[in-house]
Amino acid sequence: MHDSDTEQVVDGKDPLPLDPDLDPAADQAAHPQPKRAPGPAEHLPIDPDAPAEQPFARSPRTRNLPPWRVLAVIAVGAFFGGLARYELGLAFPAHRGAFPAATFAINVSGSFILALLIVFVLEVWPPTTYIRPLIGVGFCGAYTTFSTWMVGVDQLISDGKTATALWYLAGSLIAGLGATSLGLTSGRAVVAHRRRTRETLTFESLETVEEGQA
Amino acid sequence: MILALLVGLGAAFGAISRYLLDQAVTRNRASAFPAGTWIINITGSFVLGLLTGLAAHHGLSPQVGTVVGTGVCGGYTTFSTFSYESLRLTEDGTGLVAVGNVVGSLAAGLGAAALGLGIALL
Repeated sequence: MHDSDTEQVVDGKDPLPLDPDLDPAADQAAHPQPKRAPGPAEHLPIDPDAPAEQPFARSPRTRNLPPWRVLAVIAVGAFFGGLARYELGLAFPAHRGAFPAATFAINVSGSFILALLIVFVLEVWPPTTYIRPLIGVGFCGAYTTFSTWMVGVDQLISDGKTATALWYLAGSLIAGLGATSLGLTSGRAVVAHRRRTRETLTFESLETVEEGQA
Repeated sequence: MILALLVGLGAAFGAISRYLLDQAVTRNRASAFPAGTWIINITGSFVLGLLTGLAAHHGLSPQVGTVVGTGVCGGYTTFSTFSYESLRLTEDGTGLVAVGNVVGSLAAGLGAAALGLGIALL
């Protein structure tokens, strides 16, 4: 939609994808392996389905099917995400009419992990095919839950605990958005730090070259 | 122990369904509104409401409720993606879409869950 430039990236306004469940093939196309040079070459697409060169070109018949390995990896991450949520719910049971603290904490912490992960996968770590399906789509997706939140709010309302219901509804929303923002900001701070370090190194190596020539 | 494993397997099934449905809905869609996540969260809220109501009023076994509700519905719906997409839409200057996503998801999610709970009362 719009191009990014180096300044935008340093400002922390780099266009991360809107959909965190980006197709891994598009991921690779968006972030080609050998280019580690700083600058506009590293910008991220805003459209996760951008028709870039597909490094994993498949036959037309199977192109629209996700590779079974990606599905297997999602299943593994989701198994542990769902299990973690279940065990936390057993450890901190929500009594009828009380604030569901376990679900609240799960959703907020999962939002932080997902946001931090997206920045690390797209801007810090070398391109990988399976980290995002494993931890993002699988673990974070299954660990956090929207349906339990909605049913919990409805039940608190029908139990006459309107104030608790509103706290739970608004509190989860605000804390979740805050945790997402914190995750993105933390990740972008790491990206900016690495970029500065790399630029300093490049500058020093240029100085060394000039000294050698003098 | 067995129940915990079944919850994990249910969550895996839910997450794969979420991924495939989201890919199918958002593929070749130009709009910024995250329709895939919206549909997933609303349908999952309805099913969990229905299961909760069936467990409370129609003697649905707690084990089935845990595996399908906590496992499948919990793994299928997602809060983290909802939160991420809403925040990214705000950052992108499409604040109206972000507000629409938040309000639309909450209103439809609460309504769908209430509908499920209500149908179970019949």
